[in-house]
Amino acid sequence: MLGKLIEFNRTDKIFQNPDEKLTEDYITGRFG
Amino acid sequence: MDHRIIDQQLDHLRDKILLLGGATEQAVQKAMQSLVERDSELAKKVLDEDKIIDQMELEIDRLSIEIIALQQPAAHDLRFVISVAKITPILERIADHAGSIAEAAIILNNEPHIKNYIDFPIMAKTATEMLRSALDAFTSEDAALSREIIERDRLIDDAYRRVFGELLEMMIDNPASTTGAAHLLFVAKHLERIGDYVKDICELNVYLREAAFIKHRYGSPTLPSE
Repeated sequence: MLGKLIEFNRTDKIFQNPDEKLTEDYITGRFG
Repeated sequence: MDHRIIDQQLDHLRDKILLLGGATEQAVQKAMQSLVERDSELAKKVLDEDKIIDQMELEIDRLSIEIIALQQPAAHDLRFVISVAKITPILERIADHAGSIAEAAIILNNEPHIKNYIDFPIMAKTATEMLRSALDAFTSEDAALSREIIERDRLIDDAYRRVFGELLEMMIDNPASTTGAAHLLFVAKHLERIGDYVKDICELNVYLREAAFIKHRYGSPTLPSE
């Protein structure tokens, strides 16, 4: 089963202001 | 990370900062009322209640640090906690300025009435409305409203310049009014600083919503001469 790349960017961008809601949900622990 | 706990903690933090915002608004309103209505008892109440505001600041500081340390918030949650941590001392400083206005009111209430304070209620009304709108914009994360509020600070700056000129003239024309006029100059300066602090809150609102820092982008910088 292949995974899906949701978002790719600099670390500070991903952790401070991700573009994708799904990314935000993952890194804030609301999903997964 | 249990997201239910962090959500509860963030909601709790939000409640606390809004309570602090409300208390600060009240402090400014009461301080100006004590000046315009020459009510020294009300002014003393403002000074007493400032201690409560100081304690609220300390509690929010503690909560913010606890959330960062124990929950490691990221993305929007991180921006929210950082914004709260930076807005809290701003609100406390606004309340301190309200306290200074109340102190001036107590002194001025013992002096003969020297001016109808025409521009002061306008400055105070504008500052209080800006503060209320800034807190609304924080709650709703409204960056557009925050930018509009930043522009309104010019009204206070313009009123301050008018009042400064009028009071200087008064002191020159009537030296006996100097003590009272000097205290009123300080009151005008406190209101002008409150406007500046509200602008700072709005800049943080924009950061919260857009992750963009817009500080120091208004007006031209003044460079030191060589």
